[in-house]
Amino acid sequence: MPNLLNRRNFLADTATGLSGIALASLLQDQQLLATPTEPLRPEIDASKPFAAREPHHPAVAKRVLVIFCSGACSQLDTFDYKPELVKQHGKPLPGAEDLLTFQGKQGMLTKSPWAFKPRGQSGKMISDLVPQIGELADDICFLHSLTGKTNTHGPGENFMSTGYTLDGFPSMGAWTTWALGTENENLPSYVAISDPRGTPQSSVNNWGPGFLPAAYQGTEFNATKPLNNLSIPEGVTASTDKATRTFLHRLNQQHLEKFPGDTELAARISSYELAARMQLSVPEVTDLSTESKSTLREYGADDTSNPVKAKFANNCILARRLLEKGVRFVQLFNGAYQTGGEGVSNWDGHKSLAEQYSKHGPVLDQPCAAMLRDLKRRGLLKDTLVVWMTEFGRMPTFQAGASGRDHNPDGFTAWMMGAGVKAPYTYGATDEFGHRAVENITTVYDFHATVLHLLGLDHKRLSYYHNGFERRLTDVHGDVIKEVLA
Amino acid sequence: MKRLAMSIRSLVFLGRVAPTLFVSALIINAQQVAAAKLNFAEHIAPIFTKHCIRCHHAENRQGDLSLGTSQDLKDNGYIIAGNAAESPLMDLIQPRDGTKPEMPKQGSAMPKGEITAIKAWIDEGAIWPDNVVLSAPPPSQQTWWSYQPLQSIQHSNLSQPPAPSPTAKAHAVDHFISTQLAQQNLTRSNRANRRTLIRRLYFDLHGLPPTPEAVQSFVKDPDPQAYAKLIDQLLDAPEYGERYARHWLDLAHYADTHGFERDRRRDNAWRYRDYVIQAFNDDKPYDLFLQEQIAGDILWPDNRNAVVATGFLTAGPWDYVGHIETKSAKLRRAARSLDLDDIATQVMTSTVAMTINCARCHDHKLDPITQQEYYQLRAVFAGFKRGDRVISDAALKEYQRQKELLSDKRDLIDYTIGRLEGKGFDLADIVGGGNGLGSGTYRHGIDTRSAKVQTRDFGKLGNVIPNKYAISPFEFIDGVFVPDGKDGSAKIPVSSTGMSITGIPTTSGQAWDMIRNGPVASQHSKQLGGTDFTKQGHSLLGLHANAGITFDLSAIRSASKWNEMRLLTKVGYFGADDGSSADAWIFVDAEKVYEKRGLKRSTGLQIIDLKIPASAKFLTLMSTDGGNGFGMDQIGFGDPKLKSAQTHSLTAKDQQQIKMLRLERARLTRSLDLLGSPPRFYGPVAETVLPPIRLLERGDAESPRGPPLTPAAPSALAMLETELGTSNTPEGDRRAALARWVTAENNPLAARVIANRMWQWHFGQGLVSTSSDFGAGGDTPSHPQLLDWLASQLIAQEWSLKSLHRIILLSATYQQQSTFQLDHPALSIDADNCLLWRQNPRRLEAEVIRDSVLFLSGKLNHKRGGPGFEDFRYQDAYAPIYTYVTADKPELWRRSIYRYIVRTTPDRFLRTLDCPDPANLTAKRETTTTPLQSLTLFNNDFMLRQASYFSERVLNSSSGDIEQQVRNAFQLAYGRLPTATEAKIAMQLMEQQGLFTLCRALLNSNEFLYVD
Repeated sequence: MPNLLNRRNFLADTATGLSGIALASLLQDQQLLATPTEPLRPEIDASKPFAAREPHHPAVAKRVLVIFCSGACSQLDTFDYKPELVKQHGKPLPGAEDLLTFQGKQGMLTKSPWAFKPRGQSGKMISDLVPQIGELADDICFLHSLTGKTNTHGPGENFMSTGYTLDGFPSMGAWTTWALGTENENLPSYVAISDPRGTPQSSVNNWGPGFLPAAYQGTEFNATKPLNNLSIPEGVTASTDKATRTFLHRLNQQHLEKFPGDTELAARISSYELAARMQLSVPEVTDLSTESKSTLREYGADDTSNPVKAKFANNCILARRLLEKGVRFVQLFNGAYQTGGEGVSNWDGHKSLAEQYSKHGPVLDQPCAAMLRDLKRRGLLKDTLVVWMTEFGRMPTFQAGASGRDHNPDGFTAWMMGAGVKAPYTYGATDEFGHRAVENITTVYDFHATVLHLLGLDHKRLSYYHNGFERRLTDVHGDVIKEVLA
Repeated sequence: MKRLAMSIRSLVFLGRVAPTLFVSALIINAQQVAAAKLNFAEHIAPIFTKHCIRCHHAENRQGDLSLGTSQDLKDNGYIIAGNAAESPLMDLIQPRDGTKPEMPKQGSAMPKGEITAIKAWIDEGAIWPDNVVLSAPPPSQQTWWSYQPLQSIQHSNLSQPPAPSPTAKAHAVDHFISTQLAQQNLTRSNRANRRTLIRRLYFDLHGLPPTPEAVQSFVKDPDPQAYAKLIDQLLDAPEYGERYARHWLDLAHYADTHGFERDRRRDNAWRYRDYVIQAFNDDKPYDLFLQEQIAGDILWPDNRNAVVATGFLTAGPWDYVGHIETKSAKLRRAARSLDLDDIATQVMTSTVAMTINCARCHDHKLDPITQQEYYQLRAVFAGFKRGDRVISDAALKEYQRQKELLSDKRDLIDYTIGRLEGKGFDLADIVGGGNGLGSGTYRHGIDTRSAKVQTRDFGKLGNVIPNKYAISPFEFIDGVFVPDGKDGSAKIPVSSTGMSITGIPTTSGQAWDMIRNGPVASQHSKQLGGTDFTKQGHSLLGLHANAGITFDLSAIRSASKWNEMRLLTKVGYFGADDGSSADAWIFVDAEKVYEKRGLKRSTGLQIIDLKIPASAKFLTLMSTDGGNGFGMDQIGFGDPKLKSAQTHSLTAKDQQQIKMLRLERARLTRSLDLLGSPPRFYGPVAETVLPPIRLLERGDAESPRGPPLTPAAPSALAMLETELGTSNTPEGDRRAALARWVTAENNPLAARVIANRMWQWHFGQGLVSTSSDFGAGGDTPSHPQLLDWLASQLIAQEWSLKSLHRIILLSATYQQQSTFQLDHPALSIDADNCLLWRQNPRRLEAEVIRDSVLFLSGKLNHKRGGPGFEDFRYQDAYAPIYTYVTADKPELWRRSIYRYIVRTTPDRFLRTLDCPDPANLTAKRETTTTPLQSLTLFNNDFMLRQASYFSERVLNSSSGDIEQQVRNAFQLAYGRLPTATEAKIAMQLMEQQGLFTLCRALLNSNEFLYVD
């Protein structure tokens, strides 16, 4: 247990009351330190900050793919089927008179513009907005009873991605790569693939390092936007570039002689070698030209009639390729703000939901479903956890005077697929209209705890000391949702 | 540059753990532990300690119960050994019918697992070994080190008094350090050589490298006082404040935008940043520095600097959506609650390193800070909001008076010159409310719906009624309208006298933003045909389709005395080339005189030169959307001028007068520039009503509990009064009281905390490594006596930070070399260098790298103060878009402290190099080493361009001789000549690859990026 060497752990233990155990015996028998809340920090070799590290307990999932539908994708028009909503269509939502949601007052209960149909062997009812994802229902574990803490997009995205509504906290991917490193140091350990239309509302905070070392922030690129500073600069030949590195290496070696055995200086020297390897491996993984025509067709990357979809499809192929190469954490965004808020480029369907979702559904459905099938075919789902999420849900009513749904953090859907997840399975339920979670009510903290658990991490022990707090992804909350584990 | 391997031995001997050994009451061995099924010490004692002991221990027997031993539990019958079901203790701790259990009274209920463990323990016989005695966890205010008064430590009290010397104080520092080193049979390292020392001092005090000349003259200086003199010289230079302000702004989490999803601009924030720089440069006494930042506006309302200082309170993020935009009152309360938490946390962690925010949801788990005390602190700040405010009404009035006076004079000159030169009237200037000769306001606009003046940006306009003519109050403008031709049939009014036009095609009838003096909101580009129409000497009348504007020619004629006139302009499509197009039209008295249909960006600029007869009354400019939607249809009239048709020849007298007027104009412009922006800053704005503050159950803004709280400071510092006012005390007086509490002479924390930070800024690591947490969650001092001695010195030197710098910098401890041999005995004992047997080499911070690169290339722009430079393109939108550009012009080559800091969209270059997120309070910079950093330093556009400038500089300062170029490059980058080997390999590289390659490598080298 090398973390014993960490002075901070030691202090935290004694201070949180591990009374009755003397220092001497503590040091004799490290086992005595083990209490359920004691921080278990990764032992990070500064010279290899991304080296793969052991989890707390054996992991089922080695890597994670998060599919994030930015804008708050409506559960009622996708995965949470509510026959009562169809029956009561056009009637008021009981108790809605005084209900002020984000944009104001409620109109009438409104059924989804899309029909729901039973899918797969399990017969899970899923809407025609996402028919191809629907066909994978037998592989999916749905959670319909998520509850959040905010109904504002920025804080909502922060909450889903970092466990806090405020800016400045480490993202799930940062926690994961800090804890576990990566299996392929020639690629960034944590990649955020932004939507072809732009970045989500909370932008880089979705993949930020917070107060964790900046090394663990997500690296942003996608199939059309290359990784910054990767290529050899224009006007510099490959041989000059190499000669420069060789010279730099010799300079640094000379300097190192004055600091024999200094790990940080040595790490900086080797980081240039790692960078050179990344310059070879990143273009290789982002070069989609090696994909077959049938793959491009399956994903919809050849759909010339819908360029946004084709670009998103390329992002989906990229996501699969990164996972295949052992990237630890991939975040794939669908929907953006800066090129059009309020549902224009994202799932924020306040005013004209039917019209806007008719555009967004096809962008998401085929490429995403193809990616999931592809992951399964290649056997990657055995040790890859796929998570679909959005910042919160939407109301079963249309907004007063509009043809769209307002924000609703009181009951919304996320789903999981792959490593260690029970499927087909549905956990929790919202009320008859899909408004509030009523059965097996669960929280974003529980959800995060479950993701970490599958990665072999105890969410209560994965903590980082910052300004007086042992900070965790799950704050001081969260329980693993045991029911969804396979 | 830390070594990870730290031996257990070093852990113990360092003594940092010792103060927490409150658990040392017993010794149990591993065999005992293994034998028991449920081990009391391992499984049960921690539960009691966590939940119960604080109120039930030997010194605090609430309810006549101590859980120090099993005595009370058994005596009072709380436990029936072997029978948990009958034991009353179980009733107390188990929740019943969903209500909170009776115990623990404070904090959250015990988790199920812990209750089960206690139940099992009782059932197993409730065995509590006699030798296990639980005690209340420190710290208490009586025992915790940081709450105790400063120890008065005299040199004479030290076992080995230092030899008398001119720098006796610095030697005292060495004495404390040597004493602890000696305990481990270690000694200090040798003094570093002068080249190393000057580099270290420059980076430490200025955040910039020394020039090769400065290195040379210091190295050769025979004066034994040269080092002390250098320190004075560096502390006196303005770069010192620029360097130290960055440290302080990390603690204040300063930025120039609000943060959160909307991340709007905070254009007046910079005045606080300049205040901090100035305060360091002036060596403002540190207690005064804190007082001004907490309550300067109250304590010294007439002192401009003291007022601006309160920008400290509001430097952190602010949630526009949560505070303003949302319709949900609940969300607004939640946002405000977090806002107050941020303010209170920032003030308390930066000044006294108390993590009071840990008591937001419950009593502090480690420190003696109750939840109530936390909310009493919040009551200090509850009476103000973050916002723009004037420094003082008098200052604003004076500013406006000055500005008006100067502007009026300049306008008059412009008018006269215009008259004399026959220069013509600028229609864009007229749209901006001007006289046509430059008195209009850039980007002011006229609303096409109402002809009202609008200053802020709009997007798509609502409530547009097409073909409705709105009459303008401006002298030279008759009115405005939104045209919709309805397939040629509509009669579109174009004048207040009822003239109208027909034959215009159908439009969407929609409109975007205003008719502007400048680009419209979110305009794709301000350039067309190679001209940037926002540059000096150009103007742009922004006329996004669909819009029309009619100028009153009669009024213009009577002001100008021109009869026949000419209209000169260049019209074009300033939107993006995305397939859509628009039309531009010109009418004189409702007669079409110009028409250009299907304008696209690729069409370029259309030159217009039209004669306007002396009889004409109205001139109308109009844009329509071409029937393909109005998106992107950013029609603009570039340099739109009305002139006299008569050619004008100037008399000698006129020419002489114009020359004089121009001189006067230049003088007025300089005065206006000096006047700068209005005296506003981003700071605390008092609420009209002081809202009552209550304790919030679990920190939930919807669960207030108990009576309104009076403002008070934490009681942990027993030597100080806690009361900061009554419930009637005005907002500002509460802050003034807190400012006095923080800086009270007998408050030991303010001085200790800053002394420790100073140490950290000079050694990379504080004497207390958690420099913003002096509580039990943090570290304890490695050299407690030294820390208290430094703190006392600071107070004795009247809180002069520069004095404290001198003490630290003159010490031999600071001047040690950082290099060492692999067989150094300290490596096996203290690899982490906690005992300071050498100086710590440190990687330059992100901003220091950027500034130093500019310094080497010779491009650093030393302009000080004022609004920050913006190395991004700003686009106003629902959430403003900040797109970074490569800093490649002098305005962007200023020091990083003057960067306009965007909170939510970080500068990638700096963030990759570990620049922290200004959402967080950063007590200490992290350093990471990643391949992405290497790629950034090696390939980033800024770095490459600077490497190129660096090589130009080297080339220009050397003869054609390659050897000399190599020498110059090394001297600039490292402050030394290359070694023979270095020179050899560098010359080889240069011969094959050129000077740029050498310079690029030097900027990436460890010797440049680390200060030894």
